[in-house]
Amino acid sequence: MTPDHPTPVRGPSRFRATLLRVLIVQAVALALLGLIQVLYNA
Amino acid sequence: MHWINWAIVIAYLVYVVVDGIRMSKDTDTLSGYFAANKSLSWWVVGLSVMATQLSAVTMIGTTGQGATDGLRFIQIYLGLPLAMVILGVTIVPMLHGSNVYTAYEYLERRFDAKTRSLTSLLFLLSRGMSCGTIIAAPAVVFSAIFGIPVSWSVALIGVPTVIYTMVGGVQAVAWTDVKQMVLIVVALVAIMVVLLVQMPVSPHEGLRIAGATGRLQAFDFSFDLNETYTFWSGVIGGTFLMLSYFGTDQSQVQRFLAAKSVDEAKSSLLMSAYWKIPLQALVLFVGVGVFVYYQFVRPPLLYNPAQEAAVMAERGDAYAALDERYGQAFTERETAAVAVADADDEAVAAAAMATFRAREADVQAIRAEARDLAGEVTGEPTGDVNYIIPRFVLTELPLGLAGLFIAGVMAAAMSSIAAELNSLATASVIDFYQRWWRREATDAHYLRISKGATAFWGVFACFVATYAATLGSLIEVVNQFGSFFYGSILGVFLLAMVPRARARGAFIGLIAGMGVVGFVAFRTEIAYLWQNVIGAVVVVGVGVALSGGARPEVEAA
Repeated sequence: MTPDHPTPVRGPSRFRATLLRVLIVQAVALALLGLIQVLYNA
Repeated sequence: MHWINWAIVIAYLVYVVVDGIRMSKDTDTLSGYFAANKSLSWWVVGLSVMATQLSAVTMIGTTGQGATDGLRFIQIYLGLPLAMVILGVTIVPMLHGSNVYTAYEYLERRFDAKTRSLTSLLFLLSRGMSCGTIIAAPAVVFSAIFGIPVSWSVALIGVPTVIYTMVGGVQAVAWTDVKQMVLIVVALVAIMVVLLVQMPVSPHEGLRIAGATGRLQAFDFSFDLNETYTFWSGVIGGTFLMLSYFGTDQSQVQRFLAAKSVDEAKSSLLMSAYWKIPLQALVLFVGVGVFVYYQFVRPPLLYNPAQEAAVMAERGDAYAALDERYGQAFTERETAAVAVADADDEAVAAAAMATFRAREADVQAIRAEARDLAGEVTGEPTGDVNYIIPRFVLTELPLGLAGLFIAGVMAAAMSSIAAELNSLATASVIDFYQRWWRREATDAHYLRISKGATAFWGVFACFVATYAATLGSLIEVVNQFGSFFYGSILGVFLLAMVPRARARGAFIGLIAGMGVVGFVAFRTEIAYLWQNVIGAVVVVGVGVALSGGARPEVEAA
């Protein structure tokens, strides 16, 4: 049965899209700091 | 300071006041004044949140900490991204959807009036005092560097901030924060670029020199509850601290309550999650860079110019003798630093680093003697970490950049103070005046009271800042007291999400949480980041336990 009104399709929220980018940026930043520590810290 | 640098600072001060007032729209209603009629975009709120959190202490104290202690401090922020994500799905929708002006107002709807009033009162007490210390930190440094009375530098920072906050409310605060945040980042990046250009060694060699003294240790994976900065205290304790600060402190909550929608409010917090760790790394690397730079350019024996002048005037001979030894030790350390930079195999590098560390210890020992001498002469505290970067900026940066940095420090101070004044006024008017004295009045009446409250808190903060030295122990007590309830207040908000939790449990749980954290703070060596976890857990535990037999209909009455 076809509904009278099309079901609204929820677009991806900015929150979720940004969340993924946050995780990537943090992982890269922390990895860089860790790498500097491993390579240079005596 | 050169007049061109002063001109930049004054141009900034004039611009920020004019712009703050110009950007204030529809502030003739309470909703416009305290919540910007929920009209702000996520990026405005996001930058404002970041600017509020980044104070002058970050610009001069944390950079100085980078120079003396390295990157360890970054661990305190490890929990921030996680905290922002948690807030985005819990407290942000809960508060934004409730149409409240203060976070504490929500607690009356969920629990009762006394829980709301107690949490709001705790906020007023701690933030009222901390606002003074936020002004005092840069004001004391400016006073020593520029040779002006502390009261003048307090006025230079405090008066413009009070004016635009009082006139424009949250919109003026948010929009000036945006520009101030840009200025802060530009100033930090400019210093970093200058350091890289002027450094006598390559970045690779500079990192080896900094690493030789342990300054590049960003992470400490040991699980030691008594150690302040470890990976685990940052991830676990830091998450609770950030949840409490960004989710329950009115100076931050008020920003996201002004966002256009819940989704925009959530996204605004993610901006901090995005940028905070990279930005904090930049702040600390500026300090590390200055440390390396000063291996090749002789720094002053005492970074505080006021204390340096006082010692030279009263104990000139002793100071000259120390300075001569300092010059000798500096030259030896410079030679050792060059050897570290040039070492081309592991065995040579290890020997060079050992020598360098010994020479660095010699230099620090002579500086400690000089600080003791300064203490004898002035009778003041002699820690000079906060003076390292300002001194570097004024003597080593090209013309104009010093003015830009000083304006950046002022921007950092003003953005934090403005948010605090605005939130202190909001909590005073909404949680106390409107709740207990005048429940029904026109917006015009509440606006007059709100502007008066902003002015009152501004004057109070300037008073505390001016007399910070004499109020030292009092401020310390209040700040320590403040740390007791940070985790506990978070616990009350967490409890609000537990369906069976009742008002009696929340109120007694809050008091129990503060009591336990107070005991832990005074009687144990447990680092303060863990106290936030303890406070929140005790409140939720006691709150749930005491809510078992309560009858909601009785408590709601």
